[in-house]
Amino acid sequence: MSSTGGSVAAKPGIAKQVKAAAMTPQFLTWTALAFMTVSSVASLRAAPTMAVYGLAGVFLYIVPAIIFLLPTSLVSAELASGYEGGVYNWVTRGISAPLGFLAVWCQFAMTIFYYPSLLSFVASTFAYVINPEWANSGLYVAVMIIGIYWLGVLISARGMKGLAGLASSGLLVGTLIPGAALVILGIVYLLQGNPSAAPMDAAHILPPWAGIASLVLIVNNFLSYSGMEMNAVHVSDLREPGKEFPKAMFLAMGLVLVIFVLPALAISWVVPAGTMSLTAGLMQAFQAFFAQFGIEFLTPILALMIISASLAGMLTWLAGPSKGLILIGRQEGYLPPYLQKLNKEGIQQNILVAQGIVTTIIALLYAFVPNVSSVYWIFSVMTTQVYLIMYLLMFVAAIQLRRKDPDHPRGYKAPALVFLCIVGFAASAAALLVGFVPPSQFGGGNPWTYVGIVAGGVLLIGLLIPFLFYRLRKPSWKTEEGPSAPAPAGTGD
Amino acid sequence: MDVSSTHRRTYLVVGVVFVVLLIVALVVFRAPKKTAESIAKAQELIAAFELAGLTAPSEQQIVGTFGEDGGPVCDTDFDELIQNNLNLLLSNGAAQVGARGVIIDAKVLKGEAIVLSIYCPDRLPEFQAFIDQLKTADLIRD
Repeated sequence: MSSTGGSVAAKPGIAKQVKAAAMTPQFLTWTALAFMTVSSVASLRAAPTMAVYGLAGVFLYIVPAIIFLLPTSLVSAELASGYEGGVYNWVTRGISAPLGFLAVWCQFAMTIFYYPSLLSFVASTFAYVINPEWANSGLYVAVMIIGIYWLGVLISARGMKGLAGLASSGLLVGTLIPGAALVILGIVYLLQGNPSAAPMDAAHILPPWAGIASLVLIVNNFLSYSGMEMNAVHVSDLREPGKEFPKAMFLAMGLVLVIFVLPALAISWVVPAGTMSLTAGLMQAFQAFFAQFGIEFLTPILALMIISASLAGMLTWLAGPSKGLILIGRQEGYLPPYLQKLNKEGIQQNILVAQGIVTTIIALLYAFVPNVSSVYWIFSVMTTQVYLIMYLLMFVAAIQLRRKDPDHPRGYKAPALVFLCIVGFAASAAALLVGFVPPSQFGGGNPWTYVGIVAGGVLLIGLLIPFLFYRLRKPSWKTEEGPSAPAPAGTGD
Repeated sequence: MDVSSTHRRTYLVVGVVFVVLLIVALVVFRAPKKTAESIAKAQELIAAFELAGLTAPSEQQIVGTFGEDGGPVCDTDFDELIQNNLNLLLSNGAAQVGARGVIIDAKVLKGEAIVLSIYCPDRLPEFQAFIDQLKTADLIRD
């Protein structure tokens, strides 16, 4: 009895310890955040597209890295090391709350048309290895887009830690391992005495100058690095945000560059430019690459790996911008109460569901209405334009915060911040302007028609909708919790 | 259920699904076999590439990709869904959200037209009509 009495007396102490352990925040490691960032930006998906440029592909990635990747990464590293919450908070504090909302809305809105195009790529890649004819089936494409998207919502709703683990695994399995394999095989090909399919001499370092087309190619490649700042919204999940976020960004920058440049170069050594079918999908180039070594059986393995990397990236985009949106929505009352609800994991579930409904409608239109799928590419132009608005605001906010708040603790201070911001702003503005130049897909149509369509889309998606949220907001929508941050990763689960 | 076991269950389910899909894909995927016909077609394609001024892939690459009948490039109809996939690929070097169209070099699609002419010439007119209306520029050095 005394042992029973003793254990009864011990129970509350044990219960307290268990509760304390359950409430102990589980932090995100900086390497996990770096991997999430890389997942959000880079994968092997672009490798066959850029391989056609051969050695000039290196130039086409390095120049945008200097002009765009460096400014966005270093500036967001400084901002995140001093201010939590990501873009919405930086722009709110640096400029104003309405523009902070606009900035995070632009980040969020860009994903509306991104998910269907990403998931249609996943669908066609999977069809390539199972049954290519499925790619012609609207039903198959719709089921894949809708099914995978909602699965992503389900996974995201379970909390950050699980998502971070999946994003990191997806990067490792889907990009780093196969990317390394491609590069090693490419080197083996050259060491076997085979000549490179693409010339690798000094005369081919630069792409030929073709006027506006060259400008479009180079400047549009700035957007290859879009999203480096997106995961800053999770900075409060780090144990030491001030020190760890900059480390995460530096690692991410290096990995992104390596992932973009090296596999594309390796493919260009083995597969001659323009000799593979793009209609059949990106996997055709990879299959040709493997066929050179008699290892075509690796094609379906690589397909699944690339799919996993794409889905890992999708998960990070599901989690990031919507989190920023809800933070400012609750703090400033810009979102109706229904969209402000968090689930027990602290995840903005209702925003994800609302986005899911829109994505479902878009997917159904895309899959079953030929006129929609034939012009879908233009939505990616509109949404990238909208995203660039966010960058413009971010660079202005960074300068303002240094000026207004110079003594605010920052774990990292970007060197020559004003210069970096001016370069980044100019690069973003250039990309915005170039976005109005009709690409190949527009053919010989009237360029002013194209400008009108894109401008109209940008005004509607990027400006009108957030303006309506702002104008129709009610004082009661502002929560009494003030600048609420979601519970640290793992708590309250 | 505590946090860790929830996440472990998620990882397990995702892992199992990945492995199952991988097994299915490995079983179903059939790489083209090397036959007399596939070799003959490959040699024909190499000659056509060279005549067009393109660097031809090796015979091994062509046989392993296109086989006797062109593989996936001839299996799919060139409908709006496929055209959209192609439109999305005529883009910059972005892999995620930053992808958008550029002005491409005509060489990028020239090879495919030649592939179609050898393996499934009935598909060529529709594809040719599509690429004829694209705006192109010389962006790839020979």
